Amino acid sequence: MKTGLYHLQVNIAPENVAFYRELMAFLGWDTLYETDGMLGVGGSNGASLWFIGASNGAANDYDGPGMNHLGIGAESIADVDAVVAHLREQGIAALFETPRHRPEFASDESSTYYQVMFKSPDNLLFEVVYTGPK
Amino acid sequence: METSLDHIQVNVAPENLPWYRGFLAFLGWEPVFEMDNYFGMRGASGASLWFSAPANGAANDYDGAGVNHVAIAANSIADVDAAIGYLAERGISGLFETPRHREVPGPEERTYYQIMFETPDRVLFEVHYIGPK
Repeated sequence: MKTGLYHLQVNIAPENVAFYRELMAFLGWDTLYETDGMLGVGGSNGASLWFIGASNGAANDYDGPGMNHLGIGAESIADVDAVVAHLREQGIAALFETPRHRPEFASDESSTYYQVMFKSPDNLLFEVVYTGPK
Repeated sequence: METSLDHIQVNVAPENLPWYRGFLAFLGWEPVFEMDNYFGMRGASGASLWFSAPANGAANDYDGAGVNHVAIAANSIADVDAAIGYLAERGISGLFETPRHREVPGPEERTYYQIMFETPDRVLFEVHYIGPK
């Protein structure tokens, strides 16, 4: 059998749909579907994210059971740096001493794992990461 | 800029790590990395799932803010049925009246066949097939 990650439904506050629309467009994702309080976007590998403004208001803990963070792959260190600058312009802080290189996650000495981590307005933890040659 | 979904880290209870490893192996996913209480597996889309233990024990609610469900695509109705069988053998049944066929926009001969279920950590997953009936 062959299967793959296809989509995630992410519950958010309805007023935050615009944040995700703008962020995902900056990251180069295409809008697949949009209606009041609902946004579907697809990235370059075909997997999609569906932001639904239907959160019941529960304040989930990303260190609890379930998703800790959602990692989005970029094609270069420069792209990660562009995201860092974009987030800064939006007043969103990078977390956990990022942006930084994580040699412990690199596949070999000639490669790097360069990441920024940040929280969305719904307290969801995101990562944008480049993995590949330094 | 061009980016894509690369990975998701899912926090789970340590005793449930083998459950995810077994389920994803059944679905044809390949191991990417493994160490004590942490492993990653990759499926056909190139995106990977990473499981880390222990979760801190918070009573999270998938209808609250955050990921509601993680959907995995299969290539046939038979593959979804195989996943249903695998889950049933482990005492896990479908939620929300699944397995069932859902209507999809477009030609009538297409279907969206899905099962939704909770893992032992109450993380909501879906396995589905979209295509000709």
